[in-house]
Amino acid sequence: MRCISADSKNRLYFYLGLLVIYAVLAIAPAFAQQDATDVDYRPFPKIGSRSAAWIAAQLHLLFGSFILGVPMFAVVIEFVGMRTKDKRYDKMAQEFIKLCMGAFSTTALLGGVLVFVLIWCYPQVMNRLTGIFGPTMIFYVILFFGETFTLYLYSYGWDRMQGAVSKMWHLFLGVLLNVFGTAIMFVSNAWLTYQTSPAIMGPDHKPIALHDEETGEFIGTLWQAVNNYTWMPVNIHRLIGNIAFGGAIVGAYSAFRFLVAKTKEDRAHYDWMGYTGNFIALCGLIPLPFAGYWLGREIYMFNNTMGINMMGSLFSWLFIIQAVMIGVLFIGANYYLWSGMTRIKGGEIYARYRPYMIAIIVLCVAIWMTPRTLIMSPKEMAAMGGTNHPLVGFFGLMTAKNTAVNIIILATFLSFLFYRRSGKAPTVGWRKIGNISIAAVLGLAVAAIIAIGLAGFKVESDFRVNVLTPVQVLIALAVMIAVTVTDLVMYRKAMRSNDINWGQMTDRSQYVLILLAITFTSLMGLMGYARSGLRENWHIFGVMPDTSPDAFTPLLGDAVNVIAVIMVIFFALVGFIFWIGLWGDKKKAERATVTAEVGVGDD
Amino acid sequence: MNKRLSLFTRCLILFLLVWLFLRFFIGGVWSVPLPASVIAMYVVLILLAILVHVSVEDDRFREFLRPIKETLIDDDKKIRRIALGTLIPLVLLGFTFSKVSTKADPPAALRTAHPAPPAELKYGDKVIGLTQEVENPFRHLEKDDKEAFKAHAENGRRVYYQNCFYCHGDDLDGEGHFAHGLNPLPANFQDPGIIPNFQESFFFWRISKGGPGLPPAATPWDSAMPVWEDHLTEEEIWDVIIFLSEYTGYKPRTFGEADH
Amino acid sequence: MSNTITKIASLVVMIVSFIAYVAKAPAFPIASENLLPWSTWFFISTIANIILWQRVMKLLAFALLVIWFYAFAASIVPETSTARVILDDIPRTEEAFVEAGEAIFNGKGKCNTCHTLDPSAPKGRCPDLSDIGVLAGTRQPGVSTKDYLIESTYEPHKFLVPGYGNIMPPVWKPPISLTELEIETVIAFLQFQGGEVDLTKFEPPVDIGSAITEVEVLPPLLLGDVERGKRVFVDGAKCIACHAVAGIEQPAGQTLDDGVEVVAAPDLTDIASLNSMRYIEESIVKPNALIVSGYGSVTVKTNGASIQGTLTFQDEEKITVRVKDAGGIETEQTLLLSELDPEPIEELTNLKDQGYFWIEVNTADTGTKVRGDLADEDAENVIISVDGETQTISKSNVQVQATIIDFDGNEIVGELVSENEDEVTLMVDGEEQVIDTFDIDEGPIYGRALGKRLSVTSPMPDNFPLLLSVADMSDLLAYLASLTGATEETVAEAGASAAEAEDAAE
Repeated sequence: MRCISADSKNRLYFYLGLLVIYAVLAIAPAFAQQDATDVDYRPFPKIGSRSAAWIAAQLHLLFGSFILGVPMFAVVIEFVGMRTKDKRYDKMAQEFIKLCMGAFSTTALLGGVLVFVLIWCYPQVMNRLTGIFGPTMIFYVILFFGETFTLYLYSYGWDRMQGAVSKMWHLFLGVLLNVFGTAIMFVSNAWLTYQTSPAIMGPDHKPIALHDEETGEFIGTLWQAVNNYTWMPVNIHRLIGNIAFGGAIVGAYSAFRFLVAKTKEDRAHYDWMGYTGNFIALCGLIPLPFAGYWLGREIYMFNNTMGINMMGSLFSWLFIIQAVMIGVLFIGANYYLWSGMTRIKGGEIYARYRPYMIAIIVLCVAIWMTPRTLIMSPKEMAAMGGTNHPLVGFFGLMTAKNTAVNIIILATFLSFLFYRRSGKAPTVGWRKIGNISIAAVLGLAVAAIIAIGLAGFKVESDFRVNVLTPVQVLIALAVMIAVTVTDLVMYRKAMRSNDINWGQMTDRSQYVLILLAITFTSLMGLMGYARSGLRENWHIFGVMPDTSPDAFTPLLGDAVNVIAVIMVIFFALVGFIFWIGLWGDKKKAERATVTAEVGVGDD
Repeated sequence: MNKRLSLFTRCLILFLLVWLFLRFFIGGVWSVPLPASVIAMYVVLILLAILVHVSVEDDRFREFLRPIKETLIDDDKKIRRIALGTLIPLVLLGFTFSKVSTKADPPAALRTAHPAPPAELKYGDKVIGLTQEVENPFRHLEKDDKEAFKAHAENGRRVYYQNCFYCHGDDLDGEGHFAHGLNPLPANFQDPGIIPNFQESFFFWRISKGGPGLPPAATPWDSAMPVWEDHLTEEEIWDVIIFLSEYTGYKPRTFGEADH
Repeated sequence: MSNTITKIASLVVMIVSFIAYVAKAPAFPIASENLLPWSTWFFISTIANIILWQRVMKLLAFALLVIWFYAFAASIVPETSTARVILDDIPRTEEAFVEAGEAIFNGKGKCNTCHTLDPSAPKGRCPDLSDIGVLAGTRQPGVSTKDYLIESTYEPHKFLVPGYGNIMPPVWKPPISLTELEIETVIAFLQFQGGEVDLTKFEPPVDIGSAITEVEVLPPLLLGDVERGKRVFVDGAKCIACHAVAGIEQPAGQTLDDGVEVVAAPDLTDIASLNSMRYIEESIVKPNALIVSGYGSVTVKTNGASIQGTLTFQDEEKITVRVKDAGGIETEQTLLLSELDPEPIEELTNLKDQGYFWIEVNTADTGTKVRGDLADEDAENVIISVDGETQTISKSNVQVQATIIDFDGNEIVGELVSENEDEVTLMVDGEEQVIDTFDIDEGPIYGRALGKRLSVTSPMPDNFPLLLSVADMSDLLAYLASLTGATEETVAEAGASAAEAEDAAE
């Protein structure tokens, strides 16, 4: 048994995880029913119920997010591979799914742990939720079965289903896998969004409560509880977030493999894979703020106390830390692109723009990060003559931040454009006019975005929120699309001076990929705290109060420590899974070398 | 390439220039001083920007690190080593001293400037309605009856100058003659971040309950604002809110989401 | 070999300091948060690890650094916990009380904002409280540990540790508002610092319940310092230039800054015994609110001449104005109210407040002139008393006179017929005249009525609230509050006895 292969190890682990979760799902309702009537809360030893449930839930969510995000782009990459007949794509997609397989059983295990913790520590809450959501839980189990077997077939059938027809079937399996995955997420999102917003959307966006005002009894239907106020926004936000997160983790995996790679081929392969992962993460990152904006708006519409708590009061500082993280994400993504230009011959000509790009991005990040409420001692406040600085105070307002973030997005886009153009020279006759017009359009767009941002200080906030901010976003999007199209046409028959030297990357750029993945994960941890904390001392907002000793909202300073612990556990687990994957590859590589030698011998 | 100064020195100069600009140019020549926390944040960003710039390409990074390596290893850089070897401990000593020395300043505090209102809007014990839904009962006059609206604004002006002006100032900019004795300072209604960001019911809540009525997140009593419902009628409070928006030209938010 | 040891040592330090940081362990080796916190240990050791190790360990150290960085960045934000310690059914045991007391010390009570519990900590704003359980009994002779702690929580101003200011607020008062039980637990926690915990119930020196309801907002003047106030009175605001106070020499014949004229003003020697402090405060903030008879300044027009001076006498028929001529010689002039010149009134509002006592209007419907004493005014009407009979005239029924000066310098006076953005139509001598707004140099100046008025204002500048700081203002008020007419000797005596009383109290 000493040389048990990684695949069979994976499989063993996988079955074990499944067994645990099925057992939990089978006995959970009985467990909850048993003595739920007499105990409200049972304390979790040492770390307390809240931290226990928090850690289990966040870890489960991170793994879940990864295994839902990865199949989405794996299928797309597989499709690309099928169309281009480029085997590399197919191989990469398969490698992604292998990572996914490793994480799948861990997700199931963590889900089981979460259910145990919740039923043990919060029997009444679980009792109540099961009372309303009972049927969806059965549905969830069915979906889970579906997900398990599709993933199983999709992964293990990969090598066998390579024929022309069977490849189509394989792709279909991949799509089905995503359908199951997305449905699972939608179902579980219903439970937690119901806890935050137990109301449905009435006419004019007015929330209609699902509970009797006097008795607190549930008076809605199951579908109403599922389709509650914030369900859809959370679904969409998480769907996009999963793609970005999956891409970032894949990027980190590739960086890890790049750094430990011993051969040139490995380095080239993982460099390319890391680039792809980062590209996917960026594709997810760009629309993510807009989905978040929608979610925030819906939360505000559901209950404005909750909305103000989120953006202006209890959690306002959390959003500054979020701004720091997003700043790091953008700077890191640009850094990676600029590093990427060094592996392309002919990329040097764009290096001279780099200082200016850095200046623009850093300036915008500075605006983006400047809080409305500054930290200062009373003495500093007196020196400033007020709580807001006459210059910097304006940066704290939303209109300045929106302007800054749109410019950051455009700058990142420009970096990407430079990257694409590196080592190529357009041959079309109108290349000069084309370049001038692209520069002019970008310049005008930035000018327009700044002008709109300045106007935002003066107009009514309804007008700003409903008209100016969307116009800014539309300008940025339209310019990006127009420039991309122009650029594509311009470079369609471009002269290639040289190909990309995959593998010729600095180690630092790989560290940046890891930085991006950790930042993404921390961001999710932080936002998880915010989403859950928004309920304050309610299990179900406005309906079922939390009377346990943990009812208060933990301080940001305490919360981030819990999140740090979660991050360490998450990356330890992920690292372990990657490491096991490494073993399997080593074995395979050795076997491959042996076969090659045998082959030579045969000749 | 500049032959005279090494890349490292140039970066150091840039870094110091930015710091000087933030610390002394903005906080002195151009405007009022920035809090240390903000300067620290910007300085860290600049450091990051410099590191990003020098470390993208291997050659440049080596060039950047060269003076550091030379200082540590080269024989002819002995003087520099000794100088740094004495300077760094001295700086650390000064830092430690500044930490240990007695400070009479109260510690920095973060104040939640815009606390979340309670779900129900109350005047005294009387429930007016849900904070989210209550609208200024005289706001509709702006369209229906301009004269009456003007009268309400005028009454608001009277109320303001009889009660609020001492702290919030005659230009509503928070510069009243009692303002400088107060901590936190009175709100400046001319700031574009105050009036447009909140519904009128929010202002009603803040005026009627004052500093003692702040929620735990914003530390109750941490404001000198009196509980005005003890002194003003409901109508007077709504009127003064109309006056605030009429005078400054900023419209309170009707329905949307809040800012930072 | 030594290289490996360094590597492993830095790895161990990194892991230990990370755990200690997250678990919020006390600092090491000197238990002082200010000097060498775990964050510094972690940061330095992680950088060392990144430099020393290669490949995987380097990567791990880097990842840990990033994770820690975000936690650290967020923990910089100073916040106060909203966690509530509920003490309702706390058992009266040492363990429970000390634990609850510690939570309040660091939480609701905010004691840890100023007090430390660490002998090596840098000197803070308030005394360090390590070993206070023993030290408390030695601070004041004859006062036991517990009594000392009770006094310092309920009445912290009574005894101050040498070297520290009177800055601690009574913790039972808002904003901290600790309850009796909460204070008890804090005292138990403090006793626990080196001493023995005594949980016997005690009678608080202050009845919190009734004391809070009695809290009254005191006017700021009680906080002021009389001596400083006197300096404000004489040098700062230069009140002495106009207001005499017995015992202070009044500077003669000077002009003040900003061209404020020196005029005769009420003697303030015994102002505090004559008036309430509210009145005195109001007189400084709003000099025009009430003007002492004989000190108001007035401007009237009679027979085309304008007379400005101090109103020294007034009855229903005449007034006496003291006027200073260019040479500084003062004369008194008596004027009949009926001889005053009528002036055009632009707006028919607040007439009484502006000092109008006689009015003449043209009615628009009948075209008659109504003139007489102004009896009353409300939002819609003016009531004029003509030869003892009152007439009520609607404000909307008043014919408006308009005066326009065009660019040629012609003055056109007529009744206003209509007016819009482009032109103004006036009725001049029965003929309508249309004037393009482009031709108007000045005006239209509306005259809705003619009126005679006597407006009395205070000659005192009304910008003292802006000139004086809050501190100056309260000092000044404190000084004015001391002006009871008592002689210097009696004041000195009272001061001495007060000082004695204070000595006795200490």
